[in-house]
Amino acid sequence: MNILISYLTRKRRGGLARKDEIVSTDILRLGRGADCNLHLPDQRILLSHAQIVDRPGGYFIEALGPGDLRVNGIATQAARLAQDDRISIGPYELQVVGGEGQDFGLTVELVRPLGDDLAQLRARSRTSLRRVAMSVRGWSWVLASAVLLLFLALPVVAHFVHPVGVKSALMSGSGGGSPLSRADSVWITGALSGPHRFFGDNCGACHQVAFAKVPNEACLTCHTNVRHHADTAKFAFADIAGRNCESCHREHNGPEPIVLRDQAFCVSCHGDLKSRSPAVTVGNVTDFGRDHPQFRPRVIQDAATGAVQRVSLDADAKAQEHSGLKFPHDKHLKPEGLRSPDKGMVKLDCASCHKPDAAGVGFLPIRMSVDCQGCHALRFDGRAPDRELPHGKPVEAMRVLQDFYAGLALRGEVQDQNAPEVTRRRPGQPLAESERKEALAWATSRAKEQADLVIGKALCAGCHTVNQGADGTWAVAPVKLADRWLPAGAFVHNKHASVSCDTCHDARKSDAATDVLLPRVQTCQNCHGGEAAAGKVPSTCISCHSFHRPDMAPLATQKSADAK
Amino acid sequence: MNDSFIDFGRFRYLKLALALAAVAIVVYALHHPLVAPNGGTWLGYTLGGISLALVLWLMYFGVRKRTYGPGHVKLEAWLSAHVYLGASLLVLATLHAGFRFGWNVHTLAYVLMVVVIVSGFFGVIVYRRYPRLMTDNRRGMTLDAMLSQIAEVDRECRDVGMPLGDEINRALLESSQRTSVGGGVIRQISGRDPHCPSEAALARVRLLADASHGERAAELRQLVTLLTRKVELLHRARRDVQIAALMKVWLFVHVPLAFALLAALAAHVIAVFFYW
Repeated sequence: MNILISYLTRKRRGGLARKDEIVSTDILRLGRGADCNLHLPDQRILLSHAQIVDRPGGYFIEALGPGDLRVNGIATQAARLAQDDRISIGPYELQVVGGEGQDFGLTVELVRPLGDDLAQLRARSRTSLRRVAMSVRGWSWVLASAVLLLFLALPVVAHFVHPVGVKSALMSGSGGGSPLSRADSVWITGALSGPHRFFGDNCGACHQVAFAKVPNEACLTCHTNVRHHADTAKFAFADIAGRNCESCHREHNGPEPIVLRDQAFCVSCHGDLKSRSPAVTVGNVTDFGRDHPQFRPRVIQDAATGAVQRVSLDADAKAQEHSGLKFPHDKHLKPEGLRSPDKGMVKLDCASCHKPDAAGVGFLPIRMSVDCQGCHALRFDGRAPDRELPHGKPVEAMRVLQDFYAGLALRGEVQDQNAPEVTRRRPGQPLAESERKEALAWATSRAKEQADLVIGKALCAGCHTVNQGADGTWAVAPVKLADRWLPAGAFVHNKHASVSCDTCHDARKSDAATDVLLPRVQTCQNCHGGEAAAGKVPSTCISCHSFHRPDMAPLATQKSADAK
Repeated sequence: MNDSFIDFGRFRYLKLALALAAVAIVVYALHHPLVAPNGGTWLGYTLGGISLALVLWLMYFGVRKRTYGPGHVKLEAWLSAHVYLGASLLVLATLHAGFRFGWNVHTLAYVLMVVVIVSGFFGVIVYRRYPRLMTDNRRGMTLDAMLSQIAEVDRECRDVGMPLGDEINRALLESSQRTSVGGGVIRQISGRDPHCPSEAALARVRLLADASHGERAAELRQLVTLLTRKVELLHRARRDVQIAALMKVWLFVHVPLAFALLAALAAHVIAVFFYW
């Protein structure tokens, strides 16, 4: 067969260039190979791609490999060719046309050239971050907006959404509320102190007004009994009514209590308090270990009126407690012990009489019936070993004596040579009225005699000051024992339980109840130093003293009292 | 940009930054507030104020460096001060915080600041090291020249491969049509393409060349030479893209997080006075 092959090339300015070639062959081989009669030089074509063969029934095109072959757009392995058929082989388009004298003609055109390698490589390659990531400016906007939304806008909204005030916070409880109303939790500057946590996840409980400090009313809602530091009538400079609670009690500093412990805070005034007001009676102090003033216990000056006076333990005139009682500690604490009326020798120690109170801070008051009477029984006559005079009731005691001796006299058989006959008669004999009077007269006189003995000398006067009136009646001088000599300093006895009592209280050498058996400040300083003391127990002011003093007026105003 | 910002004015700004940090540390050590040190004491407010002013000034560098033309302070001086005074913030802000951190906007601002500063350190290293690496890697060529040479090698490969087998031509076609330089962020920064069609083609052709004899083997070896050159050019081009990406990528952290920091600082300052 003879085939007219026309190679078509499109010109850049339009129009077609055409190059004809006549091929005479039995088989027209199409492919990339140099041996092909129809040479298609493109990588996308197989070396031997297809062939056109003259067979019975017409000219056929047949694929020679797995390459791309379509006739009139339909993929095929073999097809009969007819006039005007369009054959696609890879990037080439062929068309069967009239042969112009040959058996048939074929036009060949490269319709999809590979193109410019460089341009394509450039198009595929993204070589700058600018082309693949959002711009720096874009990221900046996104991140800054996200931060402003989450950490500024939402918390501000939350402040106006959730209820304000401690009470409403308590009502709503912990963990409640919508997520939005908790959005301001990102503003927290540090962990709340332990006691405030149960309502503290609601910021509005305390932070009630935007751009204002926490109002004192928020604190006083619960802390109703907070008191002044000093008598503001005398010391106006120490008036704390106008101050913010939070200026001292700084929250969000962790789980520790928010009480200021720093001695520097106290020392800022107490370091030179005397210069502030002539009425100040407390001494200047800057550090417990260095210059704490000597203790000045309140000692009782008059047991009857309860008058007390503060006397320094350093004073030239030794502090003396006028309790109205006589009590020699040394006799009671003799190492060899004491002879008790009915238990033989007993050894007493401090705890025999001084029993700690429930809190272990101080001691229960000394009571005659509990602490003394076990030995010091108030028996008044050997004939009645089981009877005792009532303690603290002289009139009643007189009556008991009168009653006892009247009973004796009326019964008779009194073993007393000086007693009248009638009292010594045999029991059971009836008495005439005159005999009765005589017996009772003896009893009265005997009772007075015994009273002079037991009240005036043997029993009461042993411990008390007793006075006999003009009419012969006895009175016991009032007694007042100090409850706390140093009420402004909290000494907790049970914290010092490992130290023996003698370390601080020199009771074994005290022979008079007037002794004030307190240690001097130097004794405390043996173990305790100031806040920054090295080698000692660091002790700050509030280790012993409280700022809001219980003996001062309450701080709460009427307004805040109404608010609760 | 050369190294001179490091020792500008005989380390003038390094000395200034060190002095600022030293003063802050000494005052902090001598300062004994009644509560634990925090941003709310007089020293806390002072350090916070200085730090805030510094942050604003440091961010102004972004404006200044775009302002071309003669300013009365050299850009070099600005950059030197930017680097050293920026670093001093690590000390100032830490002391401002009193070493107290938590899950809140305040620590967010601090963390953002640290990340911005550390990314800035990375930027300093990049500016000092990478221009030279890039010059060395380029050997006088631009990236575009490398790409153009790669395309040239592709054309040569095509001509040499034309009479060779279909399998080889398929590999060459893949190599020329699918190979790319760079790509996404990870591709650019990693500087490699684990599925590079050109490397695959080289491996395939080398295998065939080793198994062939005679004239065909000579043709294949020519192809191996060409593909080896192409792969070498690709490696250099990718390294170039990598270096360029690394020189830019820290800015994607440094600048956006600086703006996030600015927002967090605004929230921080408003928050502490909103809930005073």
